[in-house]
Amino acid sequence: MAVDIEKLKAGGFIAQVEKDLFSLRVRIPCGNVTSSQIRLLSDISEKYGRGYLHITVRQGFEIPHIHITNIDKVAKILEEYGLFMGACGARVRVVVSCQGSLLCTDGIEDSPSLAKALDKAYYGQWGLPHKFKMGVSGCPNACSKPQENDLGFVGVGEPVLLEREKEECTACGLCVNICPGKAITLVDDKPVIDRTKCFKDLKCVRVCPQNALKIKNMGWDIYIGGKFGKKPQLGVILKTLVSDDCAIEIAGGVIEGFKKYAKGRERLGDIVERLGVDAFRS
Amino acid sequence: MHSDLEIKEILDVVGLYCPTPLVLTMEKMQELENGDILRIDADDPMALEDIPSWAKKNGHKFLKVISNNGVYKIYIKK
Repeated sequence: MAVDIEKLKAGGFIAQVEKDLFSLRVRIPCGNVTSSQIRLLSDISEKYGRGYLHITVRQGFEIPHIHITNIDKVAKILEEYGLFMGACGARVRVVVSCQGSLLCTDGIEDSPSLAKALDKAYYGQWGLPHKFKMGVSGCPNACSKPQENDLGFVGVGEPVLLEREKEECTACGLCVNICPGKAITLVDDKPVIDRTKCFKDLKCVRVCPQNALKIKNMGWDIYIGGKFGKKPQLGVILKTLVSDDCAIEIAGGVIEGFKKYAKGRERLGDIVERLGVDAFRS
Repeated sequence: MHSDLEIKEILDVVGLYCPTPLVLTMEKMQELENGDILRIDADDPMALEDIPSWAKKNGHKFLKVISNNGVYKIYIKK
């Protein structure tokens, strides 16, 4: 039986209840799978599995009921189609993402593009105290639930009414009524934005019939320490309005901090609870 | 501003949800003449996104919105 033990260790093969059977985890960054890839997965499940696929929580697929003797063969076929095994264990896991601003009308930032960059930089890294998950959402609607990841990235933007645009504003009241944070009031018939209430979703800019409200700046809000499991908690804000490059750099720093501060097998959220967010703010 | 708007018609879509308010608005606007003002009364907050953005794309002028007890009075001009 030719089983590559190193490949088995790299993850992606989840032992099933039944002897010698594995559920094969395929990583699909951002949940986008091509039609030919999904056809291949179907074929493999029919030939080597039991004719069905399992959709994972992290936007991937598992092909259940693969016999241990077929693992190498199946992995090789997948690789030919640009598909690879998903990570298990104490590693940086696949980055999840929504469809982002290139497709979604609510989108502010291009979430799949940041997710792919994060995936490229850190995916599969091990020697970590525990698993490490990242999620990216293109706007504060947070459809991809970034706050339940060890590191979550939310695309945000700040609105502004520039002095030179003030004449454009007709005081129609649309921004005031549409703002989900009720952050806008009309003062002398011009919108005034309370930054402490602003969700940074840019809804007001998008709806402004006069294009008077403009985008002041855009970037990523980063949440740290989210997790699920037996003791779920949401991530807390680490940084706001950072650029793509900065976000990728911060993720690297947090992973290093994760290794440095962990006491044994500990999730990042537990460290944040123990030491506070500031330990990761340097 | 816009205190003396002459409304041509009122479209009552209170109780209806996205996308019905927008669809009914589109239909009603076809019946109106250029320059006519339509007031849409809606209580679905989505109407505040759908209707103004549709108006913007289709060359109609969004004039104002007044909210009162959860009902939005939306004014657009053809």
